[in-house]
Amino acid sequence: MRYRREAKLSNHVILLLYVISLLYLLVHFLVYLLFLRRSNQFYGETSIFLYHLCSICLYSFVVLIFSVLYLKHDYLITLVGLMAAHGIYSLSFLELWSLAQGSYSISILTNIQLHHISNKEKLINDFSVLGDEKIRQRLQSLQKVKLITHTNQTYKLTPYGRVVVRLLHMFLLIPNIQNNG
Amino acid sequence: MTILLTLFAIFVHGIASHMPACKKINSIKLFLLISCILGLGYIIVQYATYGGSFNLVANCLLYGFSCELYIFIFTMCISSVSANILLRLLAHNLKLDDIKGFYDSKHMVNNRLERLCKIGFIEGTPQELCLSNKGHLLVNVFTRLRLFFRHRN
Repeated sequence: MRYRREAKLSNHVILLLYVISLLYLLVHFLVYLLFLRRSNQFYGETSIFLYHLCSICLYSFVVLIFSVLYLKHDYLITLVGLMAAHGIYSLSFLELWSLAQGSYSISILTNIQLHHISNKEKLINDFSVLGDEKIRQRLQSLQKVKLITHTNQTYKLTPYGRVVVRLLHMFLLIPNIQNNG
Repeated sequence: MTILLTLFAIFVHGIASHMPACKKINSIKLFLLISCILGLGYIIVQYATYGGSFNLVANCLLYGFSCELYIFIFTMCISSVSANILLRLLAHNLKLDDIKGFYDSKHMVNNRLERLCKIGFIEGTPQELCLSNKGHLLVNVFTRLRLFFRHRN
């Protein structure tokens, strides 16, 4: 009898956690929609990434405290489920944000749409200039996140970079995909 | 259990990708198909065994997130300039001219055009290209997204 009462209370607490979490994610999105995306200070990959990262950290901490205090048996799976919900929201948001910002493929398609019919040779020439610039920008970004170093006019992987790249290599091998860049 | 299921989905995706019958199917669609079938099977078995519960909901969310993360990582690896540079650096150190030489930008653009044709976003003759209906739809969606996120040119 006591166990059934506890289980019922536990279910109510979990339901409340899920509802509050959904509302929190909605508020998080609305804050971005109504205020942050109009702000000149809040623009760029770093700001958007930090907005989501800080949210996940704070959210996970609050959910963990709440779960440990009020859920005797199911706190871990509930915590993981709620973190996964935030993860799905943030990952989807960040993917769409970065694709919309400057996907190379989208830029090519937009250019073709603008001209209705595009000469392939001209398209390749126009975008190959962007390609050189893209390589330079990518090398700078990779140095910034400490995956590579540039010394004596040579680029090489950092130890941390080597670990990351080995994992990436594994991901390419699994689905038999050729990286074409 | 959920992580094991995701790893199993990745394993099946890996096997299926190497099969001749599946090579014509887009990798992302193939993984979506495999993961949805396995996910649905998992939900049915769990529901039949334990009934509906918040644990099942949590497991579904975790499975969804881990599958999305996998798709994100391998789509990034497919087309990412950065990923390609890093993979080349894994083999040996390179100078800037070496990277540019490996990574001829005309070749890169040509590869990208071929991939877009293969997926069906571009059509036309080898000399002149135009967008397919699918390509127009994609560009329109992303134009709206650019406006929504207020990206600057």
